[in-house]
Amino acid sequence: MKHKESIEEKINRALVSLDDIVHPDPPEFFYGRLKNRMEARNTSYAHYPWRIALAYSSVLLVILINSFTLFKSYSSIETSETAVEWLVEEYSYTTSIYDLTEE
Amino acid sequence: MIRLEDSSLISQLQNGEESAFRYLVENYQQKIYHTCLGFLKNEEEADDKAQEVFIEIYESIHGFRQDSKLSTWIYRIAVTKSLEALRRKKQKKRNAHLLSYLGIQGEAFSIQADKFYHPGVQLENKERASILFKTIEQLPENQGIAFTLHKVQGMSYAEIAEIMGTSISAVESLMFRARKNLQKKLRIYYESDKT
Repeated sequence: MKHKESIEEKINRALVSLDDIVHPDPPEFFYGRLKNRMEARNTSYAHYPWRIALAYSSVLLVILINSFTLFKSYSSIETSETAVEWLVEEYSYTTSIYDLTEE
Repeated sequence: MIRLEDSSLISQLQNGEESAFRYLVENYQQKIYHTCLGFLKNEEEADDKAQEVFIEIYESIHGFRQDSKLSTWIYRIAVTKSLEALRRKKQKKRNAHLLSYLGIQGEAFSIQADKFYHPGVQLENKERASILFKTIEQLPENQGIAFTLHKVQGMSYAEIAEIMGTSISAVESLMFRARKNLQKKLRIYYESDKT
């Protein structure tokens, strides 16, 4: 019984061991170290607008490249149609083959 | 130091004012560090995680909808980041055990970390607190969160309910079950520990 009571006492003392806990300070120069870390990550106040500008520029560039590609595709379709017409005109016969054999 | 109201502080933070950010860090660094320390049980990791919390605040402040208090939002970030780190640590531990079981020499994993002596605990309670911290780790996650925020951080049930996004009665229930579970596990520990 004494042993059991002793265990109960130990359990209760363990459960209250965190009472009156003191909140320790973080290691020194917390703000300075934090700021250095943020600057190293390029998340400083000065760089933040730069990241937005870069994002917009990238999107604009993609749109421009796509537009150029589409334009080039359209132009090549027109060119091939013109080429076909030229070929037809160049090789179309105005006289029949019988005329050539007639001498 | 002049105390800034939440709305004013949020507005200045969203405008990118460094003085506001510094004010925020200086007012919350101890609380956030202590919160992380309670979960991570390692001073270096807690320091690192606390810094990540403030970086997250800085990067996300524009998305803060003010549907909760600023302090609630900050603590939520601290708890989330601490739990993510704990999960990664547990996964690493499992991988290390698996590798050693397979006879593959993996990354060295310190077992020393299992014993944690909280710097804020009185000397006569350090060993008992260390055992309690080890036992808290075995609780279901929500019970562990509630118990740590209440006992280590000294938060009220109302504050814990806000942070966990639940009701006060739910927190009461978590605390009741946490205590029961801790008593059970501590009994097993002390009965097997004949010293």
